[in-house]
Amino acid sequence: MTIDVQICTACDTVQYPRREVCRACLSAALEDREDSGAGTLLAIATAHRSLEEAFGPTLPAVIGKALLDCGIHVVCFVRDGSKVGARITLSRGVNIKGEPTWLAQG
Amino acid sequence: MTRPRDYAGVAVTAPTTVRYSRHSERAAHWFLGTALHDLLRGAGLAKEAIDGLVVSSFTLPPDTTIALTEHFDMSPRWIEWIPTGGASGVMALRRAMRAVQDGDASVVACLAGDTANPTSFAELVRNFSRFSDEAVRPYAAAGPNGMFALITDHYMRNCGATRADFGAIAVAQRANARDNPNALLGGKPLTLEAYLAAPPIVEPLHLFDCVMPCAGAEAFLVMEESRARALGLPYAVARGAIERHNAYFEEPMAMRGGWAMDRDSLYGQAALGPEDIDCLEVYDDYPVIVAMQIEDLGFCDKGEAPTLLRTRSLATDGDLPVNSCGGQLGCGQAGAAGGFLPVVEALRQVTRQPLGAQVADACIALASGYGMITYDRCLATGAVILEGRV
Repeated sequence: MTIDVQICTACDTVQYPRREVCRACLSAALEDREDSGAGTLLAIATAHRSLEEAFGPTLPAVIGKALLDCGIHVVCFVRDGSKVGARITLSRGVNIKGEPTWLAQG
Repeated sequence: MTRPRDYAGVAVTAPTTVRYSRHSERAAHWFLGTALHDLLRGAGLAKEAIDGLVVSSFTLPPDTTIALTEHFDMSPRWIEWIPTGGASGVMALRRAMRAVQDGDASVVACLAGDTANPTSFAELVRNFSRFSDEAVRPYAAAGPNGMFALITDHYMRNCGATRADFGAIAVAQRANARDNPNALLGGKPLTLEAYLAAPPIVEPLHLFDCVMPCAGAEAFLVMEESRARALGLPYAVARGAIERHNAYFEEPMAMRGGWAMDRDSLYGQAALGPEDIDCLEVYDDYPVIVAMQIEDLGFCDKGEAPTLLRTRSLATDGDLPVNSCGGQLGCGQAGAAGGFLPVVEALRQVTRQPLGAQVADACIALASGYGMITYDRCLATGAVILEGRV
């Protein structure tokens, strides 16, 4: 399985969060490309409180920060007990509100 | 890089605080207007003497500085709007000092204030930034606590910090707040045991790692030194000042802030070093950020703050007084006023006008700011060294 990441066709810089113009060369020639989603977990945290009631049933929720091999660093959910330093693969899912989210799995 | 000019001839004066409250039914305009009222009364100036106005607030929009000129019947010849929260105090001061030096304004009122109600903080977070809306909020909407929990987790793993190290900051600042009648938590002593036993918010952050949102305002005046002297006002001069935005953006986890990039410029301009600082007033949205500022402003090496916290005292009578009024962890976070608090408290200390405890013989204070988490870290940093002229 692969994920889509936004990349600049002018200078090959990957972008996250999504940009309107390239973060490096400011070109507007951005497109999505497939990526393996492979990376490493840099940090994790366990949320016991949320600012939105909708997330209540999902708490506690483990969130993480992952550095992907392609160069972007992303906030993600971690639901399989993966530890910091672990190799993970990101996949696309949705949260309880139906919004797109990243899920990291070892 | 061009070495910045000095700030010769410019005075910072009239530290002013509008009493904090947990919640308020009043609008931000009330807090900012009351700050201006109290500022003028404290300085013995008429409103017409103010010809420069700079404002920072999260709950004032859609109004900004320009709208306040109409609210307050003022016709200033220079205004600024500083929408950078935790860095707004240093940034307001830097801009006001240059305006006075260049003659674009004679007396600048610098105001920051916000109201607060049970839903205002969640509202603010929900509409904070485009990146946050796409890439942070969908992950359990933990607010800033979520991203700073990740930064704290990463710092603890890489620098060997324990919860007790951060507890030392929270406990010391709570004790520093004790004599400050404006500190909402000043009357509630905090022990390390209670800090460690507090409920988790976003682990590794627990209750006493998180500031309490509140309403309030902070303000000061900037004018020529000769005018401050003529008015008989105790004042401070800026020996050096820096700011930096989006520093170290290539680093995937925030381990340091822009202060590390510019501290040589700061101390070089001031002809001073960390050893000359009598009290340190840093932005304290979370204890880990206090630790980072202690490192990045040169009080110890990167990763050595845990050791420093085990051996030195941050108390007002300690060997490294930090956040002498209690900081936001002790007083509450009055929105953008939290970004003014380090500057106002530094000014209070070096002009002998503290609301709470006075750091003995404080002549030189360093105030630093940190604001605007649009994705995974705050982007704006700044610092200023103030020397009292009492």
